[in-house]
Amino acid sequence: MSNRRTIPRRTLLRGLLGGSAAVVGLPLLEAMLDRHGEALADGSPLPTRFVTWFFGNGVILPRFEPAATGPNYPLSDQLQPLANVRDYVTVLTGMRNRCEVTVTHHEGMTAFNGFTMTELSGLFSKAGGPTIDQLIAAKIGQDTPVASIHLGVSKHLSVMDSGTTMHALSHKGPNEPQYPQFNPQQAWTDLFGAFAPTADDRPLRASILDAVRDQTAALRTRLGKLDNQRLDAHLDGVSALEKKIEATAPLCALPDKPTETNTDINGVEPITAVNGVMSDLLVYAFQCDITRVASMLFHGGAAETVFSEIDIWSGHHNNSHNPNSEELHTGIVHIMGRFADLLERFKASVDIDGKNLLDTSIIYCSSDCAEGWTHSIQRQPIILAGHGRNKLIYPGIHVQAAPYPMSDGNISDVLLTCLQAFDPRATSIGGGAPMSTTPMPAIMGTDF
Amino acid sequence: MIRLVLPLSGCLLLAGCPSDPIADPTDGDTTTATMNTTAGPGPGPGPGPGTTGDDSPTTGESAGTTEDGQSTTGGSTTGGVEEPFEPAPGGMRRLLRHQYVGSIRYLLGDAAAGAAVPPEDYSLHGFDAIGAAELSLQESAIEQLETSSRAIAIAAVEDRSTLGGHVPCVLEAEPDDSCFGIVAVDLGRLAWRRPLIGEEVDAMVAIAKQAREWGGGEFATGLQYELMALLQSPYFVYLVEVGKPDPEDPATRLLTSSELAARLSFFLLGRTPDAELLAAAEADALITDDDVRAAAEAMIARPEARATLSIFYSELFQLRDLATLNKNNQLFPQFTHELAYAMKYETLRLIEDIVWDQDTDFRTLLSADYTFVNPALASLYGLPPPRGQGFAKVPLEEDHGRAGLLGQASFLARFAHPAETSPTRRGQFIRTKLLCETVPPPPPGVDASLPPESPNEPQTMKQKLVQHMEDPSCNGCHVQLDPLGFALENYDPIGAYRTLDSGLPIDPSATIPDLGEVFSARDIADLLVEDPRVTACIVKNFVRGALGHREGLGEIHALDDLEAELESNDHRLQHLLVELAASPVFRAVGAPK
Repeated sequence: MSNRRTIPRRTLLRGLLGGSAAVVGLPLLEAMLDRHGEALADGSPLPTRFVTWFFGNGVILPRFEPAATGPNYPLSDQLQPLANVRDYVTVLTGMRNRCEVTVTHHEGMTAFNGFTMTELSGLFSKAGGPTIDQLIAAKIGQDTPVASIHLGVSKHLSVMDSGTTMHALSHKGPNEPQYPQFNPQQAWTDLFGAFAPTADDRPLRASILDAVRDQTAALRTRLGKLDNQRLDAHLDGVSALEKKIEATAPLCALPDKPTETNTDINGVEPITAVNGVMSDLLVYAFQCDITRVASMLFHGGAAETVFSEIDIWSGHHNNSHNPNSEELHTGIVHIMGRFADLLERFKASVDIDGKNLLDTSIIYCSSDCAEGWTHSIQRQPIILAGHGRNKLIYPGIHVQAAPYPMSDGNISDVLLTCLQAFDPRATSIGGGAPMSTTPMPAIMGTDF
Repeated sequence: MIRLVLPLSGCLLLAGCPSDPIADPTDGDTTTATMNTTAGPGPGPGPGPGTTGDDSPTTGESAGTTEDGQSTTGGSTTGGVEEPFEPAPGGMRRLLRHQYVGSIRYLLGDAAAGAAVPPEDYSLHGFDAIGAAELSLQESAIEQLETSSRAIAIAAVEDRSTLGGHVPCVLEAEPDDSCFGIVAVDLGRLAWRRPLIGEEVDAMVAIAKQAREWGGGEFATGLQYELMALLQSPYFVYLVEVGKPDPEDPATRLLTSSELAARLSFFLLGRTPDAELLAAAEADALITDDDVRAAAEAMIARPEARATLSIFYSELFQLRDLATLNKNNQLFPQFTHELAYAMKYETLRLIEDIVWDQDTDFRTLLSADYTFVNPALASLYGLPPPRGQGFAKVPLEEDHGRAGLLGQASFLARFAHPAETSPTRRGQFIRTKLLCETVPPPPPGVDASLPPESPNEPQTMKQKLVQHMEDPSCNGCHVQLDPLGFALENYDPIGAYRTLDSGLPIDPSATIPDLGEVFSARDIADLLVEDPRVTACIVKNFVRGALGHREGLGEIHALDDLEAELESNDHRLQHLLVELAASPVFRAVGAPK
């Protein structure tokens, strides 16, 4: 049985005393804080949130990279959509992804875990190790009802590629992909469904899960190592469900279940609408402290998505075979616009202590390559948004590791810096050539 | 990843395809095999001690690498080391969604099946079954299992007619607690595919009683939670296939009778085995080859066998993607959901005709000079509309060069972009799904940009790609893929016949290195039908889809035997299904993985 803290009981009591019901409207604010407003009611530090955000098939480097480095860098054509949140955005260019093999597109995903892929076979691979969001979730996920949530926007993933590497953004290991949820209604259920009022059958559900545990234990002895790992994952899922079952309902009002189901109409995928709803759900989940870690697969590696919603009917992947394609450029600007949409919603939202969510979150964004027509992972772009309570630099800067078109450094250094923002004792991330033991001082904030 | 120096027959089809010099053959030690495959199961998480895998071209070791297609000459894999039979490792496989739902339908009825919302399937190597054998469930999926079990149980308690067929006491007016025990024993045995031991029954009954008490003494409440418990159990969710030593050959592990009954039923009927089959298994009436054949033959006579085969082909041919396929609706306003559904139905109807109605050569699927169309499809193909709104069998228009699957819109539209055709993807489908080859990734650093288009000098798709193929780093692979697609350029991105591309006349002529000169779908089909790789490939695809692993080296001879069986029995798939069930690859397992 889980004894992990969710919303502490003392907080709940304060919530009850502060109002007539346990459910109050957003924002939560002082109900969950200690008297000074500098920590949660149980004395634990104010929460910091982490998001990975992925888009497929890279950018057009000369139109993406800012023309000058440092603070107050000018936004490029393709970064222009971030104008309203630019203070919160750090751009890293010229960095090298040190993945040891190339499959095309798959190796770009090393920017999210610092591992080379495994079980390679043609256009097949599995992720080589846990992604950064899972390392952070392992550190802070126990504090919330849901350790991490995995969302996706465009459903049209690459048909040429297979395996887990590109079809999930988050991984606990080679056989533990954390696949994204593309349907906003189901995402709502995953985040908030457990708190919808129903008859309280928690003891019965717990009894059933006890039986599942016993059966799983009996099964273990008959199976080999790999299947035992899968049973471990099954039991992790049982524990997570138990935690949710035991969690006290959050102090915020639940958002309404969205009507959006991510269904294409007349060949048009509702990307902007789904991205907006998913971003809102994430804002809500963070404000309510349902979870603190998320991954967002905006669209898959290799970018099979068709941006028909803005009247581009050739696939984004197809467009990327021509570096001069205006459709490609327009598509990239559209992607950055959707990323900006998330960031603007974060900026407009108030966290527990009155700060906006960009002040309290770190969002790590990258792609599966630098540019689609070469599939190169040299100079793979990285965007960091939010400073996570001054763990990362604010206002944001442009860091250039090497002049165009060269590349240098190691993208995993950025990962390690982000990881240390949540786990100061972490000394490395990844493995093999892409591994990093050296965080990047240039992007550290005042409270790093 | 395999480096094998086996004197296997069959050429290295993609040997000319430049391999990836970066991929380190030692990197994927999980599937790297040595000659000594008799030493026991491989150490890694791969599909066993050396697959005949589709992966050899990535090793950069052209000499002596194996390649799918090697065993295609009807078992003549002799002349060197005889690979002893070695089955794939045993272990556990998660029920696929359709198997979960099919089981619920059998156990608890249509309403309960309609309420089921099991976790998503995720494929590996083209098959959900392989994903279900290798991947772990994520946390949200465990919650999904609970949610699904609750929805099912509520529906099943509401309408108990099917459950009552298995456990009559639930239909009584006021069942007492003893009925919970009977549910656990009788329904539990069907759901878990084996008898429950006393402790397991007690655990289920305890939950039912706890729930009855919580529910104010209502039997229905107790029943609901008991069903939820049975369905959340790993014994329902996972097929456990670990076998026991063969009494005649203790080094080999044979599936237990109950495990075999389950494997048969999920393979052929897509659901948990019925009470009769389990009883036969428990009474040792599922032992000899002929026992197994008889059981399989009885199964394929059932309507569920047709549905299960349709699911297999929907996956293999990616027909299931058609429901969410997008086309440029300015260029192709006729491409609607209804038309996409009709495309899928056309292919499945042809399969049904060949496999079930005629029980004839499965390769007719490639060569058929007829198809099944409704008015919308007839219009797409330029055929006279059938009478009425339904589907009718019609002869194909000869001048259009269509034949079988490769002339059908389900394939032509699925493997095309929203606004353009994709000769590369059409070719890749033929290579990977019909010939079981693997196409290696592009070499590193290759510039995949196509020549810039000048509005004054339009080019056909073929012209663009031919230019692309002049790059030696691309040519090696694309010469295997694109020409197959060139011969299909007369079919547009939704499968309609055309003679112009970008206003220029289409030249569908193409030379396929290992097949010959072709001009149409019909030409490709004629060559494929004569190609033994097609027969070898369908055997492999059934193994992958049915058993959830890529075939291992130790299974090659058994697969050769199946291929020979198929050849000498008019290439009838029904025969293959039965013989596969009786084959050692189906009935034996290695040590648990």
